[in-house]
Amino acid sequence: MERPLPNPSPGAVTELLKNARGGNQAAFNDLFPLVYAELRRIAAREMRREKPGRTLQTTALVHEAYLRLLKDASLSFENRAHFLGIAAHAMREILIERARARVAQKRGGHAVRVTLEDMLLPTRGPSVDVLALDESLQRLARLDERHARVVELRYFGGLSVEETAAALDLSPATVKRAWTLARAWLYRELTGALPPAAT
Amino acid sequence: MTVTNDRWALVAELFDRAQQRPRDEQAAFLDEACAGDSELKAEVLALLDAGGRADGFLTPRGPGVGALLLGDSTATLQAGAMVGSYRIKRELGQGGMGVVYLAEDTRLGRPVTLKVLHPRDTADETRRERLRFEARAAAALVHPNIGTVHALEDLDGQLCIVGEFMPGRTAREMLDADGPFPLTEAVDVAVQVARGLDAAHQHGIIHRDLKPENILVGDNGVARILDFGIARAITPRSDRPRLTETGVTIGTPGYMSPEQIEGSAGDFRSDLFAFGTVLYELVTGRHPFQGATAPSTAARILTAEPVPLSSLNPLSPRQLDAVVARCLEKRPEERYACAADLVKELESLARSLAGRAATPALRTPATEAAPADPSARVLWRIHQGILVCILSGLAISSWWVASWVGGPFRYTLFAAVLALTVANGTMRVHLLFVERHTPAFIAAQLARTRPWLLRLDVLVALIVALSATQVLANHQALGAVLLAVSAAMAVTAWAIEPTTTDMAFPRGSHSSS
Repeated sequence: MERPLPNPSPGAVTELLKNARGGNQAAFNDLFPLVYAELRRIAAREMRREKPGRTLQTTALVHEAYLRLLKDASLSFENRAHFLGIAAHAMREILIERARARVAQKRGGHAVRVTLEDMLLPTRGPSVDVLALDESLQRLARLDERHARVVELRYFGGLSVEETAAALDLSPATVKRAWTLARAWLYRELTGALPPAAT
Repeated sequence: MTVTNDRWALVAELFDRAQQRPRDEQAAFLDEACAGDSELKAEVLALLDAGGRADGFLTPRGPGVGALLLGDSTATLQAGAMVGSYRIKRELGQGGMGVVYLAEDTRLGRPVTLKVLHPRDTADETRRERLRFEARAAAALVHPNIGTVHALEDLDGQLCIVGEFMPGRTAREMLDADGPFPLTEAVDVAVQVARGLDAAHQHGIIHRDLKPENILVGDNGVARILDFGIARAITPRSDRPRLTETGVTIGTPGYMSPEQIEGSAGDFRSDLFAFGTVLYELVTGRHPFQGATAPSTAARILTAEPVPLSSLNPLSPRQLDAVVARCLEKRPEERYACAADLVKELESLARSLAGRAATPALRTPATEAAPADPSARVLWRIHQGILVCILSGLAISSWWVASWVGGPFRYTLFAAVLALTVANGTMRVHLLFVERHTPAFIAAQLARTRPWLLRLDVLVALIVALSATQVLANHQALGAVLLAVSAAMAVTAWAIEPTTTDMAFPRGSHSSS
């Protein structure tokens, strides 16, 4: 991921996106690093500008990445939604990577816990340890990939239920159900408020 | 692992089904559904319990990225792109509802505006249906001060509003670029907007999102209200304004009326409140209720009394203060009973401003305005015609007048009268010609010529009066006629002409100084 990527031509990115949406895994594999690299670069710049009280807007980051990569693309709603899906995944990777870096910095101290607030990503609920969330999401993905994807898009991508539905080719009702269950499951996992799962 | 996955599917299904039941029936439902599998039941109950407390958990604050991205077509529509039969030329702007492009209707070969609505606003069928309904209603509104909607098109699943294109700038752009409007221009735009509102209200259509962004002032001076009825179609009726979430607001909080902020859908009087806010901003360049954040603005709209206009803009007349204050009444029933009353007040204000000396310079030459009463135009033509006759008479008779006056200056006098009357008459014939054949330019021509016509009239009247005093000694009757002509010209220049012109071209902005 560290290798510098050539400036991809917007047309090529568009082509990749269309192919990836068509289920072409190779196209997805080519596309993901591009999106990831672009997002990472923008995120790094934003984090340098970090000020007290300022929050990192994944929204703005993904938006900018989109504009940079797909300058002149005329994409359908579904293709754009698909891009968001990829961007959400990339955003997750970037945040995890950052959280790990912070943990490494603080090594030696105790109670190392990087919350989403630390990552400048405030949510309305209780604060969450990013790395723990990632682990729980991986466990959830083993139970049901779709539930984990919905969380990824909703949370890391900042997508609404309808947008998530468009990105995953699901009905909004399905996404809503998946979101409710996945959130309940993660809440229990992460807050540990209740006895461990029987699953 | 597969065992766990199967188990998960079961848990998921029971969770969904239990979720749909009232809380006190969930346990009973699970008892039956789990058929003795107490572990399964415990698991689902635990998740239900966690779900009940997980509200807001993992839900990012602020608008989702998709709201920006999926709805944002900036990246997708570049110049030359075709949307249906429309060829995109350039982006004109972005608003809460979508992106607006200048496009060419390739079927009809005319320029149009193409507003591509955010998919988030048009995703579900009930909203699309309501939008279609509202667009039909708005399309039925034909008025010079309302932006014309040509069509609502469903292009590749995206709803687009096709509208008339008029070169110009929105009031917001003008405020941002040039600061507050000169008083006469502000009132002029306000009169036009009020007329547009009145026409819409008479058709039972309420704007609900009037703001400087939605007022287009054409390069020709005509003001048009944009997005009629669309705001309402997009804002779900049941949605209360969500002012507490940063970045998520329905409508524009700064231009909402108190009743809208309190959750009512509002009626035509809410438009009047928004109108007052806009007018205040046009005159002062300041929002009357500006707070640091949307919620504080909303709080000020509910409670604060704005600083009077006249204390911010010393040129602002008291009458304008009163109009704005009446629009900004907190209680709808204390505002104007209808937009027509507002139009009347503003028109009288425009007239008194036009009559007032030394009004601030116009930002743009005054131009074509809303059509006036046709009889006023006839009156204006007659007026101009009579003046041209008098001036021709003077020009023709100038030689004899000069010789009757006699003395060493007679040739100078002759030349001066001839030049002044011919110049004056030519300008008036020109105006008559323009008014008849290229009415679009009449207002601009009037703005340019009126100060000169006034000066010429006064000069001619003065010279004729001076000559008359000389002629009186020898030819009393002729002297009296000349004196009468001079008096008539003076009165015309000072009183009659401003009236006939303002009645025929009601803008009040091309006032002579």
